Amino acid sequence: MKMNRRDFLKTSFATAAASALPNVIPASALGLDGTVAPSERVVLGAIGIGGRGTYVLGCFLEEADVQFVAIAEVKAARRQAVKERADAKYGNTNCATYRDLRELLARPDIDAVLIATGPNWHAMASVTAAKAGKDVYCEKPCAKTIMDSLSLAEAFHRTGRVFQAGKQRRSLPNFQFAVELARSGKLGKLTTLHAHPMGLKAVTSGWPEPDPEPSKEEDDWDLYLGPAAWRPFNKALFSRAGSFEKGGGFVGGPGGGGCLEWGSHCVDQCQWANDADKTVPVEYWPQDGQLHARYANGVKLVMRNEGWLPNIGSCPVRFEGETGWVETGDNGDLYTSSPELLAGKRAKIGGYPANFHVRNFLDCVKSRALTRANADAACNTHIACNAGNIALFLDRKLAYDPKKNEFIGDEEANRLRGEALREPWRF
Amino acid sequence: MKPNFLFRSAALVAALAFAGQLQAAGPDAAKSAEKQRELIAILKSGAPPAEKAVACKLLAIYGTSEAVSVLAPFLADEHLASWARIGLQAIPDSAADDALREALGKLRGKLLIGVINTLGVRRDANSVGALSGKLKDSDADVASAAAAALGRIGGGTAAKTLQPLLADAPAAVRPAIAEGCILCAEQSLAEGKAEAAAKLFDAVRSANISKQKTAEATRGAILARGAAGVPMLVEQLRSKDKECFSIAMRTARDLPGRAVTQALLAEMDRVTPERQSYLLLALADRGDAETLDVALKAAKSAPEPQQLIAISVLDRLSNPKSAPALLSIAAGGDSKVAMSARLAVAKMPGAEVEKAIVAMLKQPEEKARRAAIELIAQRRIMSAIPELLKVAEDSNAAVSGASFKALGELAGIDEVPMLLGALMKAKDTEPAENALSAVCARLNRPVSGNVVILKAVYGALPEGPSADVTAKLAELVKTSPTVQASNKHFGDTAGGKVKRLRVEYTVNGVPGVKTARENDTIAFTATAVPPALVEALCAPMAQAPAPAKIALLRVLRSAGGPKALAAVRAFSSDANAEIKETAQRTLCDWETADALPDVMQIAKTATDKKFKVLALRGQLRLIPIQDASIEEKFASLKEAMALIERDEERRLALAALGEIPTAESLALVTPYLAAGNLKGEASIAAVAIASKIVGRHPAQVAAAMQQVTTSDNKLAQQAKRLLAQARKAAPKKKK
Repeated sequence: MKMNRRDFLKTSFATAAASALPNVIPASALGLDGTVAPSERVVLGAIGIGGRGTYVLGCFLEEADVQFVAIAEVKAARRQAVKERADAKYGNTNCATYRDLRELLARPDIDAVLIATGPNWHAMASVTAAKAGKDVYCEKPCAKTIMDSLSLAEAFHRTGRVFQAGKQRRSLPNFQFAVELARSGKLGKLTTLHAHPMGLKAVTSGWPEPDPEPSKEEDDWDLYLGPAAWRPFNKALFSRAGSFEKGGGFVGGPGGGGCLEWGSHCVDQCQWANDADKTVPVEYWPQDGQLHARYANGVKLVMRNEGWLPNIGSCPVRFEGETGWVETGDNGDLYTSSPELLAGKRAKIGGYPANFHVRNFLDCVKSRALTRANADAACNTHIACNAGNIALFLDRKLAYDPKKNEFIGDEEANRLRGEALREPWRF
Repeated sequence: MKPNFLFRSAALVAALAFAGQLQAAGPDAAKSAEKQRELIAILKSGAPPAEKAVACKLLAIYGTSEAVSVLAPFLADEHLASWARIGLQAIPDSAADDALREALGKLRGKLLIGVINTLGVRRDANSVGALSGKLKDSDADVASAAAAALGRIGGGTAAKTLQPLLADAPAAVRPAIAEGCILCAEQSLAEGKAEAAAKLFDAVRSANISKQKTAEATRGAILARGAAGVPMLVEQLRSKDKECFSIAMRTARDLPGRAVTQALLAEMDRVTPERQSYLLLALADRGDAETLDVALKAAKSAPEPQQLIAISVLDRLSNPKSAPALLSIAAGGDSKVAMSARLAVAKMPGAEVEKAIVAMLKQPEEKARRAAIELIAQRRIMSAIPELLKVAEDSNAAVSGASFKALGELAGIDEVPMLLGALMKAKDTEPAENALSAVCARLNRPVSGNVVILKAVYGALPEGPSADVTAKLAELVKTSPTVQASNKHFGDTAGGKVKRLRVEYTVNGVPGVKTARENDTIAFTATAVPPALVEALCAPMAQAPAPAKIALLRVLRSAGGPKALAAVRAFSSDANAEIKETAQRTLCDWETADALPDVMQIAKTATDKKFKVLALRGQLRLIPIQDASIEEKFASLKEAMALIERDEERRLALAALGEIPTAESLALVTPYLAAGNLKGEASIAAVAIASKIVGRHPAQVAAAMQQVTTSDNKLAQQAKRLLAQARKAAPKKKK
C-alpha cells in the first residue's frame, strides 16, 4: 500500500516518538465519525505569520482537534493571506483579523496561540499571551536577552499556562535517539558536546536610512518595533522580521542572532543530552573562530560552524563520550562510533517537520503536562546562547553563576544581560 | 534599499572596535572610562540621531554616573528616549535612579510609562512614593505601569498602597493592581514572609478580576501556605473550571512535600481515567517514588490512551522493576500499546531486564517469543545467541524466521559455524541463508587497496561549469587514498561558485561512486569481510547437502573476495544441474571484475540462452570497471558484442563503449547511429567519445556527428558544437 506523507508521519510517529511525553489524543476527544467534540477542540489564534509561521500553522491545521479562528499581524497582506487560507479550509468567512495582538488576546474563546513573529517579539508576545490566559507555541529564538529568558520562564510558572518553544528537533527520532545515547551512558562519560550555531558574528543593531512610512492599517511599523528601541521606518528592515534584533541588541543585528541563530536548536540538544535543562554552562569563551563553553559537570560545549560530517543536513549536533560518539542532523541519519550503538534505532524522519512537536503541544494543552520544549528548558537554552553571544561581543572569557544568573567578576557582561524595553512595553 | 547599519563617526567605530579587543578576564577600567568619554562626546555633539542612539546603547556597558546627566535629557526625546533608557537602566550608579525619578514629574504618556517601567526593573525603593502618586493618574496606562513597577519593587509600603486599590481602582487599572499585588506577594514569600504573602494573595483572589489573575493568585496562595495549602490545591484540582484545573496542575508540580504527593494519589481514585493520567504525569514530573506503582497499575489496566501515557511514564522512569509488567504488555503483538512497551524495555538498563527478556523465549505464546526475539536484537544481547539458535529450530515458521533475522543482526564470526550447522539441518534454507548474508554485509569493513579512477568531474555540479579531472585524480590517489575536493588540486573550474567532485572508481575491483562538496575529503576505500569469515563459509561446502550448498553459493557472493570466487568457480561445472546453475548465476552476478574471465567463458559456452544473456550482461557490467587499459577494454567489448543477439544487451554495450575515448570505439558505435532502436544510446555514446577525441580525430568525429539525430536538445547542441569544432580542427584542403 502506498503511503502518503500524512500516513507516513502518523506511522513514524507511532513508532518514533512514543518515548517521551504522551502523544495521544484522548479517545473521548474523538467522536464516532472521527470528528472532534467541540469541548475537546483547541481554539487557536496566530500572531505574526510569515514564511515559517505559514508552515507551522499548516501543521496545526492538519490536527483534527484544532479550530483556528483569528490572526493578529502587523502587515495587512499577511493578515489577509492567513484569513483566506483559514476561511478556505473551514468554508466560511469567520477567521478574524487583527493588527494588534492585544485585541486577539482579549478574546476569551481562544485557548492557545501560535507566535511566529520576528524574534524581536517572541518573548514579549509570549508573556503577554500567558498573562491573557493563553497557552503558547512560540517559534525560536524565544528570547533575545538573558533577562527576557528569565521573564519568560517566570511568567509561565506564575500563570500556569503551557509553553512550547518551536524547537521541533526535540520531537524528532534521530535527535531523541542521539540524546538517549548520551544520557543513558552508552557513549561512556560525556566529554564534549558540539553544536552548529550558524552565526558567530558580533554585530551591533543600528538605525537604518528612513523610507516613507506606510499607514498603520497597511503596515504598522510601531507595532513591528514593539519592545525594540525606536528607529525610522525602513522598507528592507520591515521585510526582514526574521533577522531584526534576533540576537539581542549587540550580537546578531541585521545578520542573524549570533549563536542564537541555530543554537536555540543545537545548543538546546546539547543541554538536553547533558541532562542540563535546569542549568547552563558556567564558562564561555571564543576560541579559534568557535565559541566554547563548559558545564559545572566538566562537560565541554563547542559551538562551531565547520567540520561536520558531509551531507548531514542543517542543525547538526555531535555528542562525544569517553567510549563513543554520535552525530546527527536534519537529514535524519545517525552516525556513530560503532554500528552497535545504533541498536534500537527508530524510524528515520528527515527534514525537521514540526508536526510531532505541534501534537505534543496540543496534548499538553489538554493534559496540562510539561511540553518537550517547556519554558524552563527554553529559558536555560536561551540563557546559554545569550551568554555565549555576550562572550562573543566582549571577546573574552566569562564565568557565569547559574543560580544567581549573573556573570562572575564582569560588570560589563552583567550589564548586557538585559535591555530596557521601548515604552510602553513591559514584562 | 538596504538598511544602513554602518556608523559614520570615527568615535563610534572606535567604540565598537574596543569591544573586539581580546582581554584575559574582566573589563579594563581605564579603557572603559575612555570609551565613556568618547560616547558622551557624541551625545553632546551635533551628531545625527543614528549615532546618538548607538552611543546611548553602548553607555549601557561603559556608562557611570558621569554619563547619567548626559543621557537624562534624551528621556524626553520621542525617538531617542528608548535608547537613553537602555543606557540608564543598565548603569548601576544611584545617579541613574535619581535622574529617572526626576523625569517622573516632567513626562507624560508613553515616555512617562517608559521611565516608570525602568524604575520598576531597577527596583528603586526610593521611587515608591512618587510611583504611588501615579496610581491615580488619569491615564490608565500610566497608573497600570506604576502598579506593576510597585509590584516589582515590592516591600510593605508598596503592598499597603496597592492592596486597597484591588477594590477601588477603575476597571481598566485593576488588572495591573492585581499584577502588582501578586509580584509584591511573591517577593514577600521569597523573603520568608509567607503569612504576609498569603494574605496578599488571598486579597487578590477575592477581588473582582479576571479568572487568569485569580488563578495566579491562587497558585501563590497555595505556595505561600505550603502543606497547609494542599486542601486549596485539591479544591482546584476538583474544579470543573479549566482555569482552576490548569493552575492546580502547575502548582502541583511547583509545591514540594509529601502532603502534595498524598493528595494527588488520593485524587487518583476519584477522577476519570483521563484525569488520572494527567495526575500521573504531574507525579512523574515531581519525581515522587509512588509514580512507579501508579504507572504500573495504569499500564496494566487503564483504557488504551491512558495506558499509553502510563507506558510513556514508565519509559521515562526506566526502572527495571517495571520490566516484567512491560514485557507482559510487550508480548501483545503489533498493537500500539505493545509497541510502546517494547520501545520502553528496549532501552531499560539492567542485567535482570535482559534475563527476563531471554526467559521470555521459552513462553508458549508466539507473540511473546517474537517480542523477546525483537528485544534481544534491539538490545544486542549477545549472550542470548545460543538460545536464539535453539529457537531458530522452532516448528513455528514465524518464530524461527524472526530468530534467524535476529541472528543475522547479532552473530559474529564465532557464531558462523553454529549458523552453518543450522543451515545444514534446515528444510527451508532461506532464513539461515539470509542470516548468513546479513552477517557478511554487517562485517564488511573498509579496507584500502588498488584504487582505479574511472571518471572524475569537478565543478558546479550537476548543471554548472565543470572539468574532467580523471587524470589528475588518478595521479593524486597514487600517493594517498584520501583526496580533498579543492581548487588547490583541480583549479577553480566554475568561476568562484561552490563546487563538487564526483568520482566513479574501483578499489580492488569493487566499484563505487562518491560525491564530495568543495573542501570535503573523499576516502577511496573498498569494503571486505574478514578472511576468517570466508574461510568459515567455504569449509563445509564440499560436504554440504545440495540445498545448503546452493544457499552457501549465494552467501559467498555476499562475502566476495578471491577465495569466495574460487569456491564458487569450483562448482560452476558441478554434476548437479541445480548447483551448477546457481554457481554460474552467482558468477554472472559477481560484483568485482576478477570474475570477468569466468563470465566470458560462460557467455561463450552456455547452451542455455538464458545463461548466455546473463553472462553477457555480467560481462558488459564488469568490463568498464576492470583495471585494464582502454585498448584492452575495447577488445573485450568488441568480443562481447560479437556474441550479442538482442538490442537490450547492445544498449549496454553502447553505453560501455561511450566510456572508451578512441577512434576505434567511435567507429564501432557509428553504424548504430542509423539503427532505429539503438540510435538514442548510440548518439549519447558517440557524443561522449567525440568530446574527448575531437582534437585528435576531427575527420572521424565530423563524420559521426553529422549522423547524430536525437530529440534531446542538449545532446543535439553538443553534437552540433563538436561538429563545428571538428570542422575547424580538420586540415584545410589545398587549393
